[in-house]
Amino acid sequence: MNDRIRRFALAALAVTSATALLAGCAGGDASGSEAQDRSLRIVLATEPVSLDPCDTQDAANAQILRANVLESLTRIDAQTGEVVPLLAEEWEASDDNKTWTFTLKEGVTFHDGAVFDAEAAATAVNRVLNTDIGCGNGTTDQFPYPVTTTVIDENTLQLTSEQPDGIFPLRMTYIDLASPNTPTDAKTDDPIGTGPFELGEVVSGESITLTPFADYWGEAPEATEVTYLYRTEPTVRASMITTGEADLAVPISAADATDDGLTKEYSDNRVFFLRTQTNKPPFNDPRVREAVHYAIDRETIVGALMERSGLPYDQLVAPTVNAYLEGYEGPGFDPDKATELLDEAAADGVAVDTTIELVTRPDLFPGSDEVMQSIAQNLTDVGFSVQLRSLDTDAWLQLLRKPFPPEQVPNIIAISHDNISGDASFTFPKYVASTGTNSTLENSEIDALIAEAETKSGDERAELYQEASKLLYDEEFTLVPIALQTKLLRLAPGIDYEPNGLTGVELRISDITFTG
Amino acid sequence: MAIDSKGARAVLLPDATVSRTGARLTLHRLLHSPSALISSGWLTLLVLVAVILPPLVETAANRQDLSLRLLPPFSLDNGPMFILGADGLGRPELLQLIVGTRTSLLVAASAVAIAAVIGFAIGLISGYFGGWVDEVLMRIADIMHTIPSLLLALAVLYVLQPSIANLIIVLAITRIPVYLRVARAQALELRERVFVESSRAVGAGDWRILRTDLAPMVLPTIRTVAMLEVASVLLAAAGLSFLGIGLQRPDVDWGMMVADGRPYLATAWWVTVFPGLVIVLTALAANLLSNWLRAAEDPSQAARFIRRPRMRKAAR
Amino acid sequence: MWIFLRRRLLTSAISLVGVIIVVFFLARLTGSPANLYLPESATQEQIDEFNRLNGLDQPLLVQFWNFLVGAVRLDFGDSIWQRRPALDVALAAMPPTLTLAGIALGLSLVIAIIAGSIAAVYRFRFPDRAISVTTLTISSIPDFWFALVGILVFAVQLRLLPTSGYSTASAWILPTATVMLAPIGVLTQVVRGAMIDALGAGYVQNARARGFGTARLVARHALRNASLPIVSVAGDRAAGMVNGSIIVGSVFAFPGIGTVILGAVLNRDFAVIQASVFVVGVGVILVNIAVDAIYALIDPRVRVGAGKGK
Repeated sequence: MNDRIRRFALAALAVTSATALLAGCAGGDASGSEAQDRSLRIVLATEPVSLDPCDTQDAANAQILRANVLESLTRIDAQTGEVVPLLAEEWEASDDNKTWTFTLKEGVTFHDGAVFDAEAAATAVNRVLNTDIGCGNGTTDQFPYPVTTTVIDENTLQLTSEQPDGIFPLRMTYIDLASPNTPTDAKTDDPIGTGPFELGEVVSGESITLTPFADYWGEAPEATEVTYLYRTEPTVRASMITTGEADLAVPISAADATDDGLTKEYSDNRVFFLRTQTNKPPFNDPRVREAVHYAIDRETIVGALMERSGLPYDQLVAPTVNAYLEGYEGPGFDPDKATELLDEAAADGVAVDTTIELVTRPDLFPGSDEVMQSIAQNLTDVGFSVQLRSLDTDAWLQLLRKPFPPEQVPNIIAISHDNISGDASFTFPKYVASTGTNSTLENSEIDALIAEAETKSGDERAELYQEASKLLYDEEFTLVPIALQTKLLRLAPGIDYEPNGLTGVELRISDITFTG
Repeated sequence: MAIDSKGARAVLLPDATVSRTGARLTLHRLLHSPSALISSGWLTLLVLVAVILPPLVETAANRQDLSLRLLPPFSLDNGPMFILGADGLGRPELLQLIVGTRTSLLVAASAVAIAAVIGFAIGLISGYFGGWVDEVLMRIADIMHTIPSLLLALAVLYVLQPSIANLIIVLAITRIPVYLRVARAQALELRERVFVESSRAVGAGDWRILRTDLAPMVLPTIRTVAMLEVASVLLAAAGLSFLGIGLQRPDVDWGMMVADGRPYLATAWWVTVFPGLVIVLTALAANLLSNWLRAAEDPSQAARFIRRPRMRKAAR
Repeated sequence: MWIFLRRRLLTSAISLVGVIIVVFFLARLTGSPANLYLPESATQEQIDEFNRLNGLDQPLLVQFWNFLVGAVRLDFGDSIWQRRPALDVALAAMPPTLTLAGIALGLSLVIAIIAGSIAAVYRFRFPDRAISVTTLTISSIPDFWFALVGILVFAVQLRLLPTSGYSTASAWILPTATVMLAPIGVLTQVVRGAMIDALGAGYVQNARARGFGTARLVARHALRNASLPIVSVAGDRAAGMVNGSIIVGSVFAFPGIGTVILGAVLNRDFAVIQASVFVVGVGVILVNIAVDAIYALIDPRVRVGAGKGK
């Protein structure tokens, strides 16, 4: 099973690098035939909620704006997962990992003509981090410690974190820089950035159009116009490719996948897992939690129902995240063992026949309802008394997050969690540490490891997280990983795009090439 | 399909002018109307299925078997229960339909019955007494009519838990105004009639008049509207399932089956077509029967209606 | 007529106030928006801050009072989701909904009048039965199923129509057909019933005796007489179409008030829920008044009875 995942990851890497080469060649060709009309129509699931540059934490907003209209100081290289410069040339940390000095790129202008310099960058960073306008970006999730900005000279910006922060450049990928003319006391629906495209026409409820920015500092993309459309039904999105109404549909469901090479898979480092309530009977007995692990037939469920949209999985984070344990294998499917564990627990007086709610929501991922019904049957088969509850997002969130009132029926909640950053600090403090808002676990050993990891960087940080992972998987059994999720998109003939781990939040138009 | 306004009165009113028709006569007419006969046959069959079969097949119906996922229909290789194929989790479509029949009929019948009884009662009172009582009740009906049923559904299913009972409550509440208006319109008209006056003259109280004079006159219309409403409630329940705020598994109804089969429309038609067909047939049967009832109980229409059979008899 | 209109407006206004009061509390029963708008790991302080910024920390009755004060000035507050005035959001969605409802209802009426008249003329014979069964079958099809199958057949298989959208004329065909499903059955039945009555009326019988052809008879005399119930049921369906557009919105991405209400409910966007229901309520009232006005034009007797209300 682990081999399958590694092979998958390697294959994905090989394909992406090959395309990167090809894309390079194609880019060269394009400059030869200039005047061609190369418009793109991209159909997405949902309309962006906000076009404000400081709301790109929301995937629906980010997929359109990030890397196309807006750019940040640093970005994540989708191929290597490393943090690389974008609007910064380079950066340097002080010894205590508190002060970070960024040297900025020269010759960059915003769409409105404003010059990008340290002053502009500071204004933009402050707009996200230090204003009261309710930004989606710059929350405590992304920036746990207060940050102050200091302009050193025209091209040097110093950012100081109140606490040591080993992954500060990674955090800066979350701050899209807006023109200094953007209002700082209110949200805007006119995002002005430095990206290769400017915002064109916006028809609420229908479409958004992007047009190329003539003075872009980097290489001009092939597309001459991009129109985004929104369709809620996955089948309709896929059909629009068939009928030629769109050039790229993202995401589509496994049932609509084609075998013609135009349906592409990509991982957004998303893991589908279940959370048991460690703090409530009967789950306060580790044997009951372990039984949940043994009860679920991941291979069959994921293979049959998720098809190309998932792989059976044993860990909480994707292989690209530093807490990933090389070679680890989970308990596997063993219903007899599960029943045995439950019987043992019952013999010791644990109320294993308590009715448990298996909580999910319909839009967890395409086809999740059927997967959850299958899991419910698996659990029932080994002797759990399970009641499936599919809630709307708001009600689901209330059960996901603390507080967990005592009168609450014990539940197992389905979670689909992505971590595109590669760092476990976007997963563990929230789901594993006892202080985490979404955590039911109380393990001081794990808490200490996470706390220590937060202050370290590099291999040291990774090792501490991996140790925490081991404890979590081998002793606690709180979280039950089911599948490493894969998303699917579909291309029209004549369009080429190799999706990557960031596609779900950063669909770079520059990566799309025309082959027709 | 909803008839819930003054127009309904114009169409449905003739009923009220007739006294109740004898059951034997109705049966006699039924036998001579093929569409009504087939419709009532289908509905009777469904009721029998819903009452008898589900307890016997429920376990088998909910048994998932992923190796039989999306098994095509019309093959007996996996036993007769897979004659209509299997759904996305390898559950036998036929047995799911049977269990779904019980839920769908229960939901539709209960929602219609509750709405009809409440709407009927309030409508009668509102129309008979008139004045401020009528004013207040009609404004409440207007309010209920304007609030999006979806909002109501979400509020109720959120505060309470999604279940068959709560689904029935939501559907019933949204349909009450239909009956209320029809009953009120008739009561308004009937209270001026001579027989009401004569009842009053011999000293009958308001409630007695309502019960013995008005209610029996309005009832046939309410029954006709209720038959029509069975179809619309079935479709409304299906719509809620489509929007993801209907029932919860393992409960299943026809609408949920159609909604759940949505991803397989292009690849496995049978998952949605069979339950869809059952919905269409049932709604159609209820509609046809309602039409027939209305015609059969209206003397002006019934006279024409039974002409043909009579002539045939005479010829014999 | 004016007394009648004034009375109608007054009673309608009372209903409207009732509606927005009920909706205000109904919406708040569905929970707080804070969870949806804050990151999963939001702290209690952040939640409190969010509630304070959006005025959700005040006692319910204070919120209600603020809402009423605003509503009187047609200020329903800002959409928490889209961050613009809620009334704008609701009003922007009305033109597509009204256009779609208008086209669908007009076409349904034309079809219903033709089919219903034929059925009435040939009552209890084959054409009548065929028409009844066909139109009732159409009305028994679940609309979302029809919409999805319609896309598969007409867009994907036959390539005749676009799958979805709103900007081209051909994109309107499937949504219009979907919205027409439900009204066709009931309208045809109403036309048929009314025409049967009208055709039996004395003066129509007279005209028949004078040698008028059936078609002319139907078009000239009976239809006018039958139009009262047709108009009122059509008006009722028009009001119902607002709710019906939810399915069309979610399948065809057809923008409209149904989509707005669905989105607002799922996103706990209270201001938009209230503004939308208000706009819909005003629409329903206007349709009702229009129906009554048409009534009065067709049948002068209605004016006499106007004092009785309704």
